[in-house]
Amino acid sequence: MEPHSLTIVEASRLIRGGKLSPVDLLESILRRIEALEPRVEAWVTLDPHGARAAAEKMADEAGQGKIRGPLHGIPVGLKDIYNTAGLRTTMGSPLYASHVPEGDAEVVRRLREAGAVVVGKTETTEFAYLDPAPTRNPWNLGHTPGGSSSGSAAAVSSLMAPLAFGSQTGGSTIRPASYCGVVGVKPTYDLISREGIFPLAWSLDHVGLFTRTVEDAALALDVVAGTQTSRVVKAPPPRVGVPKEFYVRVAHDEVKQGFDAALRRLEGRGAEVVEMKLPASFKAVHDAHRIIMAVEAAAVHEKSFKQKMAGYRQNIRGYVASGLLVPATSYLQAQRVRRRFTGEMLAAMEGLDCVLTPSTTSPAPQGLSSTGDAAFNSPWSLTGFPTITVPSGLSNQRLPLGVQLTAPPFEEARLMGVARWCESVLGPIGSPEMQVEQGA
Amino acid sequence: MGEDQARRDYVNHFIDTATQLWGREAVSEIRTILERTAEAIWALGNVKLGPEDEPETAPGRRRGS
Repeated sequence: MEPHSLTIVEASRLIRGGKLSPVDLLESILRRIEALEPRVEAWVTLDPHGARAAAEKMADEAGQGKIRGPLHGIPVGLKDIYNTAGLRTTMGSPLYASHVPEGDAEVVRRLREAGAVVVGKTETTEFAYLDPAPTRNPWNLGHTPGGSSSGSAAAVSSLMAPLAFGSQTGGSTIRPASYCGVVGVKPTYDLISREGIFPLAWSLDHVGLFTRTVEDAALALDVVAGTQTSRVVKAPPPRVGVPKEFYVRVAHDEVKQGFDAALRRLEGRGAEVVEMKLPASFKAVHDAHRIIMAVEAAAVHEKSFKQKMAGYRQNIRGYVASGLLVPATSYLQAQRVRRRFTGEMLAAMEGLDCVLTPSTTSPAPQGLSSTGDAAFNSPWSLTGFPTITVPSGLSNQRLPLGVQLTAPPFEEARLMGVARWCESVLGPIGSPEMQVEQGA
Repeated sequence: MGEDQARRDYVNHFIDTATQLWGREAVSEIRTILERTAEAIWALGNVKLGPEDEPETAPGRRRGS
């Protein structure tokens, strides 16, 4: 097995046992990137020089018996809105094309301290909104990988990195993770520091992360959040609530069929599936989310927008412009709806381990002009509740499908336990078949 | 005036304001986005809330504590 195809758990075990050098792992990853990047376009900026220096240091330390933790020597990709000291950070915008931060984002600092090796910066939609990055879906290059964390999801899916970080303000982690057939986690709002990450909308922005297994996700989350979710080894069959009225009504037929099949498998292995009603306030959550995000994005960009409006691509330009026109009372009305929905949703989740829904309305849409629909994810960005997507199967076109699990705030350990159980039942969907030229 | 007409009037007013600020050509490129935001404002205005419904101020951490 080539080192680039190892999960974090597998690579970490080999590094700890002296059977794999972080340098060899990195070189395998760099060869993989060299072979696939022209087709996938997951990376904005690669830093092979910096990565090799970090990997050599981790190899030296490992040789001396010093292992910093489970991410020691593990290559990582970072969405190009994370500040990286001395490494270009563009926000996916020509306005920041030559922007080089002086310091690291707090998450990056923690990753480096834990021994992770920063390989480079992954593609993002412009300012993490909807104007697409050039990235393609590794399962089918004619389809979108989703967004806004397009490069992070595609890099993990195509084995160009075992771990990548992104963000979510609407559905920017769960959606691309599901489209690309990997695990994506959006923890509770503010569980992980956003310091040094360029904002889209402060009160909705979350750090997100991508791995190939739930166990890997738990390890990475523990490193950056200080949680202990990876200690949850095995959860019993869960009691999950399924809100069919919106999530099944809006979903495309392939998603409905895939979700029903996943439910049957979970029930067959002992999960208790309870049909739950969404609170009345749910019907206003997408409007509330839109208004809050537009106003906060407008506030972030107001000064720059007045001077450089033409420098923004169409979607973010329209969104910022619309946010500048929203009355203050409408913003507050949206925040009042948000609070009511959050309270009603928490009450509705009483007695459940998690809420279970399809991760996306459809498999990854064809074409690269849109990054897909975040309607199934944005309610949880609005409440700040933790969510995870786990691959659940393939569509007729062999595109990944996923299930989204949601737990009450700060219940990441519970969420990871249920996700691991679901993953064990639903099984792996594998990785996309990508032809690699000999020698790569 | 019917509810639907009032909503259309609000959306048109929103577009007119944008046009005054940024001009007809600039607005034509982003008109759909502006309309969707105006529709969302209108819809939220019709949500029945009482004085006890305070706005959210600190999502996540405060709830978890």
